[in-house]
Parts: sequence; C-alpha cells; structure tokens
Amino acid sequence: MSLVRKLDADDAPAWRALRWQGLQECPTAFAASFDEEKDRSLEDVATMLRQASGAVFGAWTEGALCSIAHVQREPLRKMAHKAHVWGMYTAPNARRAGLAAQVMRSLMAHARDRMGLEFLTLGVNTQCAAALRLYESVGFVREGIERGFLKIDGVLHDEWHMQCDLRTWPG
Amino acid sequence: MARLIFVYGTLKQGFRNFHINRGRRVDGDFVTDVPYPLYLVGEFGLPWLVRKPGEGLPVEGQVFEVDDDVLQDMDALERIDQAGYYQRLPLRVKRIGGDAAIDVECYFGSESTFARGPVIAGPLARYELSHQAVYRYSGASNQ
Repeated sequence: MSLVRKLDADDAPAWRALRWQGLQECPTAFAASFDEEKDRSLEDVATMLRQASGAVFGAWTEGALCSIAHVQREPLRKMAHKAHVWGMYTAPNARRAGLAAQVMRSLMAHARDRMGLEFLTLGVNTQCAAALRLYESVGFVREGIERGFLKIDGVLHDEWHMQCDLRTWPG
Repeated sequence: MARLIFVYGTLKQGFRNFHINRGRRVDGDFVTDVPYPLYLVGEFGLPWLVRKPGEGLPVEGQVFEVDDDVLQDMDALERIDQAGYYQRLPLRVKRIGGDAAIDVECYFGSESTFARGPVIAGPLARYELSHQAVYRYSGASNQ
C-alpha cells in the first residue's frame, strides 16, 4: 500500500536514509554530494522538516519511505510568492508506479493551498529524460537551459530551468 | 426519486462499503470539474473530501443512480444527521475523457473534523484500494 503525505520531524531518519540513497545512486541529479551530507545530523533534518517556509512530501510503501520531494519558499520578500522544488528522488524498487507524480501533485497542491505560493521553479539535468517527463506531466514547462550548471569529476552538466504557474495550474 | 451520487471513497465499486451502495453505476469514471481537497483523516484514515473548491486536486470517483431506499442507507452510513461527519451537497463532475459536466451530489466531510486531524495522507487525486489498509474502523462509517 502507498500513502502520500507531508513529512514531519518524526520522519527525519527515513528522509535522511532515502536522501543518502539518492545522492549515492544519482550523483548527477543533485547539486549536493553525498560527502557533503553524510554527516548531517537527524536534529538538523528534523529542524528542516519543521520549517514553515518549506514542506517535504513523501510516499510510503509497505511502511518504507520510497519517494520524496521538497518545496522551499524563496526567502526574500519580493520573491516570497515563489518557491523552489528540490530533492525529488524515488527509490529504484518503487519506480514506474506513478508514485513520484503523486508526490509532486500533492506537494504542488499543498504549496498553492497551504503556503499561498504562486509559482514553483525547479532545475533538472538535461540528460535526465525521465525526470523531465515527470515534471512536464505534472504541469512544469521548460524556461531555458543553464550551461554547465554542475561540474562533476571534470564533466560539465547542463540544466533545464522549469516553472509552474500555480495560479492557472489545473491540479 | 432517483438521484445521481458521486462516490470517491469506500462506497466505490470494489471498496469496503460498496454493499451499501446498491445503485446503478453510470458508465465510466468521473472527476470533479475543479480541484477539491481529498485527505485521509483521523486515526482511522477516513477518506475526507473537504468542500473547498479550487484547493487540492481534481478528484476521481464513480457516479451512481440511487433510489430513495439506497440513499437512506447511504445517508445513514455517512451520518449526515450528526455534526462532524458528512453532508450530502451538490457537486459538478465530468466523465474522464469527456467534456460535458453533470450535476450530482456528494458526501463532503466536515471541515472542523478535518481541521482537528490528524492527516494521514493527502491531498490525493483518488482513494485507492491500498488506502483501505489504513481503515480500521469497525462501526458505521464513511465515504
């Protein structure tokens, strides 16, 4: 069985474990590296999960957290109507079941309804075709490419900047 | 008098309270014409559609034509005469893959009960069979 819901501080161990798994399995999909996050404390994660300026949604299958995504409101007052979506990851054994789309749609509805946000942005490696399809399927559109967004082991990676206008998003 | 009822939770065909719903199913699957917040709430994870159009996601369900006897049983299940449970109210839905909207009725969950929580899951686009595993209530129940 799968349940999609907003995570809270009690979910810190499960979120951190899945985050570490993602950073190690898909290093080109994240700006952060495993080495930079491997010492992150559960207290720090719990604090992040409590923040009112953001929200983390996840899908649980058979009691295990298997898909996550984070939305974080922009901190500056003139940009506070927008938020950035980051940290989307689904464990390999939970893929192709539609869970990532469910997590994204629940997260986006929460961002619009509970956080009062008007626009969401995200970035995705141009080589991640599955992720691009996911984001377009839930309502994001491509805005432009940033060349050389990441440099990993000497190799440059380009990134699509994507945006969703929640004011007209059909859900 | 026959009425069209949109069901989104345990009254759907194949779900635990379908035996209460003895209506004639209208062909196809339906979706609300605008988003509504659907959550699993309370310690029993009851499917709870809150009457806040424009919030949540377009919610999928089934439409049944029911007579007065069936409607009475469904109303009793949903406890529409008790505060904090469900109310049967108008709603507009459209067939998935079609364009024309139809006017139906639907059991909306109480906003005050939703506000008390806890929220087990959501907002959701549909109540699925797997969600019934959350449902442990043994008494008269809900959508």
